Amino acid sequence: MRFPIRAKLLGALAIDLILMMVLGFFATHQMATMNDRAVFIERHTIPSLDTVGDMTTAINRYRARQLEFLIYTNNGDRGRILDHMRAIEAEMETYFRTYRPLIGSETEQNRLDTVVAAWQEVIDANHNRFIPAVRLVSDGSVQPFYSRMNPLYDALDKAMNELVQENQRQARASLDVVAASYDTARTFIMIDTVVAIIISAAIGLFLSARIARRLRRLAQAAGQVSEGNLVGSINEHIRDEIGDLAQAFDQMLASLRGQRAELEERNRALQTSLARQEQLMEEVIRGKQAEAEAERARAAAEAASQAKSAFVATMSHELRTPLNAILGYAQLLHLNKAVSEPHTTYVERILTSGRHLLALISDVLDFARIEQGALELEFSRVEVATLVDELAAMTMPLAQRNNNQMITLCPSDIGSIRTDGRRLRQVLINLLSNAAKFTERGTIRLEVTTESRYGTDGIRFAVIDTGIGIPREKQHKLFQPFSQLDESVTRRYEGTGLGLALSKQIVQALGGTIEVESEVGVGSTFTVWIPTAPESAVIIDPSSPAPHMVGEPA
Amino acid sequence: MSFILIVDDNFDNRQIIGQMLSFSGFAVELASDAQTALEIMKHRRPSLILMDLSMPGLDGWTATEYVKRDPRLRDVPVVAVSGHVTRNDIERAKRAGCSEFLPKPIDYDHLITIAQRYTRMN
Repeated sequence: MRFPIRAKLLGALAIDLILMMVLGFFATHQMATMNDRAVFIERHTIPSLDTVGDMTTAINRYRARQLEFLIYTNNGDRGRILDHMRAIEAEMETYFRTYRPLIGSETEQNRLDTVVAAWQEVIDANHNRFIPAVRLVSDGSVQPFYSRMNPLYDALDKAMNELVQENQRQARASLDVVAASYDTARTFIMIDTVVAIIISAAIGLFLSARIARRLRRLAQAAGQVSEGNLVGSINEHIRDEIGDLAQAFDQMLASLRGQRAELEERNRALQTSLARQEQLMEEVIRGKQAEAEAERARAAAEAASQAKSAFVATMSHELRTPLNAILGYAQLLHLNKAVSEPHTTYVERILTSGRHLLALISDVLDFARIEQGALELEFSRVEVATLVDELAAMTMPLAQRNNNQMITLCPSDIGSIRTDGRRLRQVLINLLSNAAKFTERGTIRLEVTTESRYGTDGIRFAVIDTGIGIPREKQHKLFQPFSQLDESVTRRYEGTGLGLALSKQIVQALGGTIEVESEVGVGSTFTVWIPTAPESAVIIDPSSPAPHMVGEPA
Repeated sequence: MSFILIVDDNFDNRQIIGQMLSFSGFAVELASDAQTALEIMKHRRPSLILMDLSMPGLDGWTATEYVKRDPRLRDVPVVAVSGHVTRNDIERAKRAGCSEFLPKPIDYDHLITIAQRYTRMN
């Protein structure tokens, strides 16, 4: 059963109210009783006593009339007095009639009846004996007759007195009732008040103590919760507001326990994760340190490489100045007709060696630039057919020197490409020169076709010779610096040893590729593919192996 | 009498270019620095100037600008002569007013072709 505290308090109030109502009802009742008594006295006792007083007066007057009847002998007077008497008798009848409704008890009735009877005897005695006797005597000795009336009057008096006494007794009884009612009411009010106070106090104290105790339990539980103890519960069974609160508290506690468990679980997970993270962080830091060291080492290596490249560039430039002078003066000597054989040949040898040295220096310089990432490319539109014609014209004398046939195959409508024409020319001249150098009494062909690679349009330049060929095991070293097959070959064919390596670098810078196919004794085919437009292909691939530098043996 | 003015701080270069041109019948004047060259041109107007670019003091680019600003010399062609130069150097030379670029080492045939072309134009 559910009784809210409000209902309980209202219940306590209702008990008090009921007690008050009982009290009021009882008090009203007592008041009514007292009022009844007061009304009784007012309506009954007082008129009764008045009537009794009137009756006494009338009786006295009647007796006085008897006396007058004795005294006055005149018949006229007697008649008038008799009339008076009859009037008083009528008056008395009136009084009796008046009194009858006022009778409050059987005793009073009896007493009145006694009075009426005594009065009747007085009247009877008066009319039947006194008056006739007085009339008969007429001598004025009335004493005996009048005296004879005395017992009757005494009886009447006595009856009257008893009536009065009865009235008084009744009045006293009424007063007693009023007093008793008053006492009862007073006692009852006092008792009722005390009882109401006691009941209210008891209920109030009981309820408040109970509520306070339950609230204390709640407060204690809350205190425990705030201290972090989530183990207990209140377990209130009384279903009221505090019960609801306690139940909500228990639910909250259960929820908190669940949450704390979850929190602890998460915390554990977090701690684990944190430990793992710290571990990872340490690893990362160690990794970073290693990385930083590697970076420092790399930077140092790069700086060294840069310094080396800068040194090579400067040296190449410095070497060229005296070489320019040597070549210049050799040309002047060559122009001079006064120089005779064998000096003319010597001058030519100076020029050839000087130009070779110049080419070597130039290649070394290009290499240094590539290493520095400073190879300058100048892109422009290059007509492929025109380029092929130029190449043929330039390499024809070289080819013919070894009695080779030079053939170019290029569609006239092949169009143009956007590239660095000077660098592309440098590469192709290098390939054609090599072909001419390593072929005797053979054929050198330059075949140009369009070819798409990696989804990009491009031009394929194939330099095909019928020369000495390259052994398969040496082919992969071909594009490395100074990889000419051996010292004797270098000496015999006068290469710089840098041509193919530089060509590869340049072709890569132009976004293209270079490959070789060769068979010893049959010939070699060098293929260069260049995209029609440079697009994003102008950057030298840094992952390609760095070329070996000057002075490093092949 | 028309002549070709050769401006180069390097003695050998001056000699070689001068001898090559003389051998082919051109009259030449040699100047070892740009200041000297400008002095010479105050009195005599050359038919062609062969100008070295990197020189101590007044360099070839600045000297070419002077020539091209001078109303009297504005029409004299200037050919830049230099060894190792970057594309940027050549661009600067063209902006300064050089008509052509002749690389070192000097090739006799190339030099004569250029000399003949510009002196004939004049």
